[in-house]
Parts: sequence; structure tokens; C-alpha cells
Amino acid sequence: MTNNAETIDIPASNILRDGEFSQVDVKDADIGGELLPILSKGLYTFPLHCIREYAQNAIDAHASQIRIKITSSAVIIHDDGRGMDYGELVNARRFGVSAKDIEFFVGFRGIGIYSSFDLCNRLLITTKKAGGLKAYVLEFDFGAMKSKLAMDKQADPPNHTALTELLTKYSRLSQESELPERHYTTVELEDISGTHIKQLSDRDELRKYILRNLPVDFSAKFVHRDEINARLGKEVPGYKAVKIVLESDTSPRETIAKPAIPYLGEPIMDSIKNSDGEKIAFYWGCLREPSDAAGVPRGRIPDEFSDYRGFVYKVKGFTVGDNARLSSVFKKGNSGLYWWYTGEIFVINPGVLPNTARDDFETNAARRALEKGVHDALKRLEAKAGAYQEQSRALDRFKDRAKDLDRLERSINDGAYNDLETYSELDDAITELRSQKGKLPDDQRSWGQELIKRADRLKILVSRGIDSPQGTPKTRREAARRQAAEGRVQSTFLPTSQPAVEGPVLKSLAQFVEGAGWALADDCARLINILDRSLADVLGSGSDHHQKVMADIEAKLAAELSS
Amino acid sequence: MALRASRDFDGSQNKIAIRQRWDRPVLDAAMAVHGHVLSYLGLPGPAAQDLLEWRDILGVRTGVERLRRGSVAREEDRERHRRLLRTVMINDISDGFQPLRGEIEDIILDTTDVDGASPLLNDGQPLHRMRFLYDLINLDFFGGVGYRDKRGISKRVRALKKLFERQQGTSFVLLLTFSVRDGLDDELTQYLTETRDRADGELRRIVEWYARCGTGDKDHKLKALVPLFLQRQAEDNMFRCHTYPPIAYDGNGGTRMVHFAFALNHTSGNLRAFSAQSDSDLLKLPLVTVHDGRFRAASKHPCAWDRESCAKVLGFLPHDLRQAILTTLPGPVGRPA
Repeated sequence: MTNNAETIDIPASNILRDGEFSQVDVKDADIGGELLPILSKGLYTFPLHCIREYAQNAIDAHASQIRIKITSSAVIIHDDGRGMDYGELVNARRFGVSAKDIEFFVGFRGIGIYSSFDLCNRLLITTKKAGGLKAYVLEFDFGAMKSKLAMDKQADPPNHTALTELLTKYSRLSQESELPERHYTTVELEDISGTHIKQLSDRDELRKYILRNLPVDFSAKFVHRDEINARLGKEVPGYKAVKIVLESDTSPRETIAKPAIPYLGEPIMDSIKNSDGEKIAFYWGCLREPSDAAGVPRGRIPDEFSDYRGFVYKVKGFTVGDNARLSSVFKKGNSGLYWWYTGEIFVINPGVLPNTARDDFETNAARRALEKGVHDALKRLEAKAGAYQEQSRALDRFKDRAKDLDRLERSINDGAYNDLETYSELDDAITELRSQKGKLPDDQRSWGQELIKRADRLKILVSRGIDSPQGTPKTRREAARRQAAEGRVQSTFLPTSQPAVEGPVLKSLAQFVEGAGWALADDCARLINILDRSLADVLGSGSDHHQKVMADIEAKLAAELSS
Repeated sequence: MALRASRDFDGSQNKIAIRQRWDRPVLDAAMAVHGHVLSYLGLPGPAAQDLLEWRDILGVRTGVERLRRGSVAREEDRERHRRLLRTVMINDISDGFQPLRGEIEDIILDTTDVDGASPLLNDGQPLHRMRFLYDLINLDFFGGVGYRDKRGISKRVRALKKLFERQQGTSFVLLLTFSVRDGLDDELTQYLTETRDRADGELRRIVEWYARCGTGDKDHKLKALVPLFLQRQAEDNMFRCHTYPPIAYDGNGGTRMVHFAFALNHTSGNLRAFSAQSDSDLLKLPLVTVHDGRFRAASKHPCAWDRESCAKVLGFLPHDLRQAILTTLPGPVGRPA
């Protein structure tokens, strides 16, 4: 049914009445074939989108493996899904009509099959359902369709081929005998232009696209793989990670898997519910937490895994949008902590619909509820990451201070140090370490405490030097040796290579407080520190008076604690 | 338009037997020499039976399907191509498989298919001097040795000659299958006649026997001519050629086919290589036939059967098959009808 501008049917008589609306039939010819390229080109702007669309159909057919082969002029997508019988294949040809239920299937708009219209000149779908004796083949001659539409435009007057006519004339079906037990679908995009085939043949690009967009399984090397998969299988209806295999003429076969990002902490997994308590999504996320022993800097997921930083939305395993879209939920440090995570948010509520381009969701109430729930969940994750960051920073400060103490101790042992500068530096270090100690990870607290004690001891010794300025650093070092030998203090002046001499240690007030297990506010801790310094300055650091006062305080404190 | 099923989509019983029982020992021997799985360039057909049957000994495979002009022919060819791809995908032999579209002769002559793609295993040189690096080339032609174009040139014969240039430096096994129908009858006879004129004694008489074979014995004529021709081409291109006994059989649709296997070992040098088999050896090779999947010696032969030398040339076969063929050797000289 081809009509030109002059022959469009016009109702013989005007059926309308003033002031009344009437229905006027829409005919096949009213829907032009141009709709096909308009939709195809408009929706599938990137050649790889069609691979996503055909993979989507494979997932809906419960495929466990999809093989994608790129040749010099064609793309073949083969899956081991259920396949289609004759009726299903004929239905698959329908345009914008899909029998798939949104709740259970990824594709539901009924246009994905035409996603390769612009890409190739011939599309072949060979499909076989288990149990049947025939495989069915559906062929679209997209090249002929495009030629026809181009000729229509050039005709004078222009022709208009109806969409139904275009699809009827340039698509065909056939059947062939096949083994009954086989089930599969093979989609072949034939006669692809050189430009497009070059783009599709870029293995790195294709791999990246597939990993970003398709429900690919984790690498077997990923330590949390089984745990996350098991939980997703339980919490996300229809969750299934598919094995996707890439093949091409020039590169070896490759099974695509989400990479094993190193140093990921235990997965955090939870449901997201709406205000009625209904589960609308489920997420998992792992914070990058390299152990202290790993010796790698803490921080965001490394650049080589940049595609996996942050969170992505998944609908039936297919990605919607990208990993940047949720970064703004993390406010602290210009969203910096967001990139310390890797994770996925599986949308469960069927009311949340991805748009056709799959870069966002359609706007509706369900989407708003999802975004609210996701916001709250991500805020909790941000708080957790923030706490981890503080711990990390505290640990880093302690490590830096430990190096400072090593340096100071060496210079004190060598007698080559400036009394007041060293005293001041030690004092600052002790103040900082005390203020940061509470932020240390649990397993590092005792180490931190020991470091503070060491700093205290050094400070006392330096203080004595200031109070008894006689002698050179060398004589003071000798005096320190004598004191150590007498067992009065644990010498820090002795070279570290020598075994430390055991002996009574003059404790500070701060250490008394520490030993008592009292948690002091920063201000109180500073006051105690000042008192310590005053006692040492007024009584003479390490002097008999000083020792007596400190012993008295210790005794009274012990009595207080025992009472 | 309904898609027309080609009769050669599925192999004949005889062809299957040749692939399994005859070619397989040839390929196993080649693999033992090469020390690795064999790369393949050939015409696997839509059922890809070569690739399936030899999947355990093949590595990279380049399969060529023609794509002729003309709507009907093109549609047939595209359908063959679709079936080939479906077969390799379903059977999971697609990894390392390169499909090319075009005439294999054009690909050998020009190095590219209709899409501009070259056989994967090549030396990376510019097209005009590109060399192929295949271990096995299987030219399983449905047609004959070749038809001549308007200029009297057979592209198939040209391609066979060119193949040795393309494979320079790489030893390989060449499997060749032709139907007895072609447009070169007069040239075949002339080739044999001129060979006869250069020969003496028994050899002259043997060539004469082949040259006198009529249309009904075309398989004998090809059996004599193709090894002589191939060996000459091979030697001129520095390949030592070992020719296995040819096999005649009825293919799909009852077409009489002749199948050849050659082991071609590249040697260093500039002038020519010398094969161990003489012209006389080649002409005395027994013609084996396959019927209903069973192998036997052809009933006609240009000279007295020499059981010992037959056993020797069949030595590559498994014992049972060799014995089965030897027991069918007929009596003394048979004359062609």
C-alpha cells in the first residue's frame, strides 16, 4: 500500500458535527516506514547498543552463556537460551509490541530487535526451542528497506511506504530440521559497514561496554564473589550473572568477568525499602580497605578499575546510567569518599522503569521512592567510609610520629640535638597522639599507646637535660647511661642496637590517667599534660622530689581505683 | 522466495568415510611432523564437517564460502554462509574460526575476500606479495578442475599454481577434491599426450593408457594428471611433494569425484626441489574407490598390480583398512573401456 501525497485517502464526506468530537480511523498507510530509521537511529546511537539489546533478549530467554563473535563483516550473537518457536519468532517481529512482562523480563518495548537497522544490511535470527524438530529463521533485509525508503524520498512526488508494508515485504521466515534436544538463538548482523565493524572489533572498547552494561559475573578470583552472588540470588528476583564470551578473528577467546579489585573490605549488603516497608531495591558495596600490611595507600579504587568505582543502578542485571550519577549523594570532601566504594544497586520495584536509552529512569513516584531510599543507604555508607578515613588518617599520623620519634631518639642518643626544640617537638607529638588515639582502629590501639609512652619517656629525658644544663651532650649521655645502669629510668639515650636496660620508669600523669582507663576530653588531656610539664619543670625532671610526688599520686590513684 | 536447500549441505557417506579413515591418518602424520595442531584454510561447507571431524587436531581455521553475483546465486551463497556460521556457533568451534566470503581462487590470487579481509595466517606483507602460513589447505571443490574464461584461462588452475607461491616457506598438506566434470577435457588429454611423447618404455605405455581413457573413465585421467601437474608446480616452488593414492567416489547427487592428498615440504634453495616419487611412481599409484563407505582398489589399472608396492604406498593407513584394500586388488592389467 504505497501512497503519494496526492492520493492519501480523505473521507468522502465530512463526518464531523459542530461541537462534537468524532473518531477517524488510522490506516496502515498512516504509519510510515520512516518510523523505523527514526526510532532505530534515535534510540540506538552507538553501535554497541545493539549488542546490549540482543544480549537482553538472550537473558530474557534464560541463557547461561552468550557468545559474541566479530568477523570482518558481521557480528554473531549466540546464546544457549530457550529459543523461540514459530509463533514466538513471528511475534518477535512485531514493532513496539512485546508480550514480555515488565516484572520478569528486561526487554519489554518490542523494538530492540530493530536496533541494528542502521548498523547492518541484513539481520538473521536463527532460533530453536528444545523439543521441537525445526529451527526457524527470520531474515530482515534492512539494506533493501533502506534503499526503498531512500527511493521514496527521491521520487517526485515523494512516496510513502507504510511501516507494515516495509516489514512485510523485506522480512522472511524459513525453517530447517534440527536436533530435538537443541535450544539456542543465533543473531547474525551481516554486511556491517567498515566503520562500524572497526568500532565493534575494538576488543577493549567492547569489553568495557559489556562490563558496564550487561549482567556479567564476577571474576572467580574475587574473594567476595560467592557471598555476593548467593545473597543477590536470594534477594533479587531473577538475578542471574551470565557468562559472556568474546571471539574475533584477530584476538583469542575471552570470557568477560567483573575484575577482582584488590583490597576490598567485607561486602555491605542490605535492602532498600520504601515508606510502606516494601523492598524496592537491594545493594551491595565494598569499601576499599587495604590492610596495614599491604603497604598500599588508602583511598579511592585505583584508576585501572575506574569503571567500577562508586555505585551503579542495575535493572535485571543491566546497568542504567553510569557510576557518576550517584556520586553527589556523598557530600564530604567533594564526594571523594564515594570513589572508595564499588557496588551495585539492584532495582526490584517493577514500577521503576529505565528509559529506552537506559541512561536514566522514567519519572514517576516509584523512582522518587527509590532515590530517597538509595540516598539514605548511601549516606550510611558515607558515614562508614568517613569513620574509616578518620581511622586511616589517625593511623597515618601515628606512623609519621613513630618515624619522628625514631629520628629524635637517634639525635638524643648522639647528643646532637637542640634541647628546647626537641622538647617542643616531643610535646607537640604527645599532644597530637593523645588526641588521635581514640580514632585508631581497635587492633592498633595498644601499639598507639606504646608509642605515646615512648614519647613521654623521651620528653622526660630531654626535660632533665634542660633542667640540668651542666655538661655537654656527651656528659649528659654518660649521665643517662649511669641512670640506666642504676635502674632509675629506661634509657632512650642508649643506641637502639643495644638491648634496653630494664628498670623503674618515672610515669607521667598522663600515663596514670591512661592506666586508670579514664577517657579524658581533649581539653582535660591537655591540662594533664601541662601539669606533667609543670611538675617536671618546678621539681626538676626525674629529681627525687619529682619521683616522690609522682609516686604519691600513683599510690593515691591506686587507692582511689581500688576503692 | 523460498530458500533452496543445496544438496551439498550435508556430506555424502563416502565423503565422511574419506575424511575419517583416509585423510585423518594423513593429517595425524602431518601433525606429528609439525609438532602442533594444524592451521586450516579451506572450504568447509555449511555443515563444517571438516572442522567438526578434525576439531581435535585443528588450530586456527579460515573457512571460505563463495558469494556469487546474481540474486538467486547470491541468496544461495548467503544461506550457505548463514548455515556455516550457525554450525560453528552451535558446535562451539567458533573460536579461532575466520569466515571469509568469496571465491577461494580469488582469495589465493588476490589475498582478500569480498569484504577486503585476508586469510588470518599471513606474513603481514603487502597484498601483492603476501604469503600464507597454513598447515592444511583443503580445497574441496564441488566442481571440476576448472572452466576456462573467454581468454581460455582456468582461474582454478591459476589459483593452484599461485598457492605454492603464497605458501612459500610453510610446509603443508593439500587436500584436493574435484568432480570429473569440467571444461578442460581437451587440455587434459593433450597434457597426457605430451607427457607420453616425452616418455619411454613402460612409462610411455602407462601414460598412453591414461590418455586413452574415455569420458566414462575421467576419474582415471584426473588421477594421472593432477599428481603430475601438482608435483611439477610444487617442485618449481621449492616444495618436495609426496602424493598419496587418489580416491574416486560418488559424491552427493551421484557426481563422480576424485580426491587427492599431498604432503608438501618446503626446502631451501632457489632452483627447484626434487620429490622422492618419480613420474612413474605417481602414475603407478593405485586408484582407490569408495562405495557405501567401503574402500577398495579400482578395478582398472594401467599396469600389473604390484602388491608389495601397493602395500607400501598404503602404509599410512591403519592396518585393517590397508588390508581391506589390498584384498581387493584385481588381477593383471585391465584395459580401459
